[in-house]
Amino acid sequence: MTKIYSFYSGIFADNALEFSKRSSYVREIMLERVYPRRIIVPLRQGLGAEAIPVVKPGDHVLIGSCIAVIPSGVIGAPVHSGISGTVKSIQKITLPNGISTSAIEITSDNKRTFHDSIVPRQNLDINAKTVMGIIKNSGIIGMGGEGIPVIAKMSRAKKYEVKELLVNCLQSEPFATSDLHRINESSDYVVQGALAVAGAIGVKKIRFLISKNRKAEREILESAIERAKKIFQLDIEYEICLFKERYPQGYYRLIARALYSVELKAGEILENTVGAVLFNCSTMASCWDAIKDGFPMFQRVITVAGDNGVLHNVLAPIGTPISEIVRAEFGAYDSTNRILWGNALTGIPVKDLDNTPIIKTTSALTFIRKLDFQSAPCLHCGLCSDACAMDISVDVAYKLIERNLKDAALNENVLSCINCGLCSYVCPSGIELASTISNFTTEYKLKHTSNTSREILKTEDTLSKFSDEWNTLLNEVDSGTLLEDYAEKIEKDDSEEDYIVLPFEGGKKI
Amino acid sequence: MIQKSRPPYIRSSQNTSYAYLIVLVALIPCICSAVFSYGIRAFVLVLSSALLFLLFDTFFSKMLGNASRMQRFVDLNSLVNGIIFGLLLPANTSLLIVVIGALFGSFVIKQLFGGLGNSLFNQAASSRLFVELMFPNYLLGFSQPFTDYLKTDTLLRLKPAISENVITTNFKAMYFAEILNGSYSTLIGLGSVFTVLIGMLYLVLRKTTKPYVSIFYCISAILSYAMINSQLFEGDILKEGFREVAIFAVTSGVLFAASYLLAVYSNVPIGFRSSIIAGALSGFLAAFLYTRTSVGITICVPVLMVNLITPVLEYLIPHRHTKRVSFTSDKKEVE
Repeated sequence: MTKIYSFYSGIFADNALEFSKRSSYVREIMLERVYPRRIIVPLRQGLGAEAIPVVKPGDHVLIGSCIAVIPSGVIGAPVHSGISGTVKSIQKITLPNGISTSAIEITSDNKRTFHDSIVPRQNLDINAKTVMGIIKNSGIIGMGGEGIPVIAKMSRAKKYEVKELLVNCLQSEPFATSDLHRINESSDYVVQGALAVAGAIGVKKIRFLISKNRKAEREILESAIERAKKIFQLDIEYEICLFKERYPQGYYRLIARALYSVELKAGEILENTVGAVLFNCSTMASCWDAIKDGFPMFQRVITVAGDNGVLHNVLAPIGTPISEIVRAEFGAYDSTNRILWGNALTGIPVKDLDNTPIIKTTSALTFIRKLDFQSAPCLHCGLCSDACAMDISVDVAYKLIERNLKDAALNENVLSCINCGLCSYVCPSGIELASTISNFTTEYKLKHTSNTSREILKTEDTLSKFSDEWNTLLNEVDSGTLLEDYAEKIEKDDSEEDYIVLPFEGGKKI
Repeated sequence: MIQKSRPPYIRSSQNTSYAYLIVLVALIPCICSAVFSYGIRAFVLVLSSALLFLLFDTFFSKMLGNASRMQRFVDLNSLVNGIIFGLLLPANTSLLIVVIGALFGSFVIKQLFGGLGNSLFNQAASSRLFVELMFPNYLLGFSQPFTDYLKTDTLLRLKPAISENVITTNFKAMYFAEILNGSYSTLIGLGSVFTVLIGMLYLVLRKTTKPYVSIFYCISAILSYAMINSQLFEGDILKEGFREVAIFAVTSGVLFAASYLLAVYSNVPIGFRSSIIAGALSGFLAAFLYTRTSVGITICVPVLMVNLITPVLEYLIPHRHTKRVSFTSDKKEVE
C-alpha cells in the first residue's frame, strides 16, 4: 500500500477552502500569453544582491538579452529582458513585499525578436560545471516563493553532499495552479530539469512530492519519469511521494516533518539535517528551459484567478506590469476587486497597477472581491491553533501580543510563524491573527538583527553560515554572468572529465 | 519600511454568527421537548429569556461602549445563552426571575467584563446559579410534565414557589424508559435525554467546537458517582448499581451541561490535556453535588469551575503540540 505523507495539521484545502474546489481538481488549466507594451524589470527579485545594469536608457534589447549582471562571488541572479524593445529608464521602485530596488523599464517594439543566444542546445552532453554555469547565468531563482538563486542551493547541496533531490509539486495555495500547469504541459522538462540538477550536484535519488489527490498530474509525472528512464538509463532512483492534501503544503520544514519525521528548528536546513535539497517543480522546468532551449529566466507561468470564477494561467515576461495583465485578461480593471500580488491567503494588495510588476517569484495574481469581514471578540474555539502548521498556540500568542507581553509571546514560539494566513482564515470571529503575529515577529527580527533588511532575515533562516563557503563554491563555477557568453565556454569545457549523463544523449559521453 | 498589510483577504464562511446559528439549531429539540412536556409556560419562559438576554445585551453593550468593537455583528450569543438559561428553569418559574437572571447575566457577567468573548464565566450558568442562590424559594416550581399545558398564572406571580407542593420523584418506582423520555419533574430543558443527545450529536457532526471537556466531564461524573456511592454495587449490580448510575447520568443534567455549556463556545480548555483535567475535576464535582444540592447547582457550579480554571490550565499546559521555547538563550545569541 502506498504510503501517504502528511504533517498532520493545517487544513484540508478542498473541504475547508470552498473557493479552492475549482482549483484543486480543475482540468481546464488554460495558458494564455501576455505580450506587454512595456515591462519594469526589478534588479533584485529574490534573495541576494541587486544586479548591476549593463544597459542604459536608449539601448535596444532583445528577448533574452541580459540587462543586469551579478558581480562574481555575490549571491544574486542576473536579469534578462522578456521583450524586445528600447530601454526607457532605470528607476527605483518598491515592490509590494517591501523590497526597494532599481528597475529597468523597457518599451516594446512589438517585434518579439529573440536574442541570438536563444537557440535549442544541440549538444546536451555537458558536465556538471556547465550545468551549474548555465543555471547561474540564466538567473533562475526558486519559483516557489523563497527566491533563493538555484545556483546557491545547488552549491550548498554539493557542499553538504546531499543524497536526495526533492521536487516540490505540492501546490496547495487556493486558486493557484501554475505549478500544476507546468507539470501538465511540461512534465518532461520538470523531470529532466531535476535530472540535470541531480546530476550536477551528485545526487542519486530524486523524489517527486505531490498530493495524492492530483491523480492526473501524478500519472503525467510517472509517464515522464518512464520516458527519462528509457532515454537516459541513469543510475538515479526515482520516487513519487504522495502527500495528503493540506494547506500549507510545501514549506521545507513541513516537508521535513512529513517525509523524514524531523522537526527542523529555525535556521536549520534540509541539506545538513536530512541530506536533501528541495526545489520547486517550476524551477526544475525552468532549469531545463535554460539547458535545452537556451532560455534564461525572462518569463514565467502565473495563475490569474479569483473568487469570481476566473481561472487562467498566463505566460508573461518577468516585469510585466499588473495593469498589462489585467488589460489582457479582463480588458479593464474592476474596482470592486482587490488585486493581490500572490495567492489568496498570503498575497499583498497592489495599489499601483501600472508600476507594480510580476517578478520571478510571483506565482499568482489573485482577484478578490472587496468584502468587509465581521469582527467579533475571540470565542475561544481553538480553530486557529488547530489549523496552525507550525503548532503555535495562536490564540494564546495573539492575546499575549495584544497585551504587550512580548517575552511570553516569544515563548509561545511565534517566531516559527510562516505567515500562511490560515489562522486568520479559519477564525470565525474575523480576528487579524496572522497579521498581528507576523508584524510582531517581523519587528522583533528587525530589532534584533544587525542589518535591518528583510533579506538578511531570510538569509538567517536559509543560508546561515553559508556566506563563507559561498565565494569558494561559486568561484568553482565560471565567473561569467551573461548567458550568451556561456555558449562559447561550453565548448572549452568539453575536455574536462567531470561528466554526467544528461538527456537526449544516451550512449554518448556520460 | 515593511508594509503592514492585513492579509488574508478571504475568510471562511463559518463566522461567529454561523457558529451560534448551529448552536441555536442544536437547541431546537430541547425547546420542543420542553414545550411538549410543560406546555405554554415553557415556551414563554424560553422565549422571554432569549429576548431579555438579547435586549439587555444590546442595551448594556451600547451603554458601556462594547458594541463599537463589533462590526455588522449579530450577537446570537445572547439568544443562545438566553435559551439555555430558560431551559434550566423549573416550569413554574416566575418571569420576575427571568428578568433578574437576564439582567445579572447581561450586565455583570458579560458586559462589565467587556462583552462577548471577554467574559470569564458562562453567561447562562452564572445567571442560573445567581438566581438559585439569591432566590432559592422562587425556583422550586417543579411540576409534573404532560399536565397543565395551558397553565400560565405562575409566570406572572411575584411570590416564592415554596407555597406549592414540592415534588420529589421516586425514580425507583419508575421504568427506565419513563426516565429516558422525561416523565418526571425536572428543569424544563432536561426532560427528554433523547433531545439532548440529538443536540449533542448535531454539534459534534457540525464540528462547532472540540468535545474533549464534555467527554471527560461525562466520564468523570459517572465514574465519580459510582465511586462515591459504592454501596450501590454491593448488592445486585445489574439491577441496582448500574441502574442508579444510569439514572444519575440521565437526570443529573450532566449530558445537558456537556452538550450546551461545556461544548459550546465558552471559556473552556481547548487543549487535550487541559481538557482531561478540567473534565475530570468538573465531573467529580457534579457527582459530589448531585445528592447534596439541587439540579441547577449540580449543573452550573462545575461549569463555572471549568471557566475559572481554564486560563490557568491553558497557560500551564500548552495546547496540542505547541513547543514552548525558553527564549532567553536564543535572544542572547541573536543580540
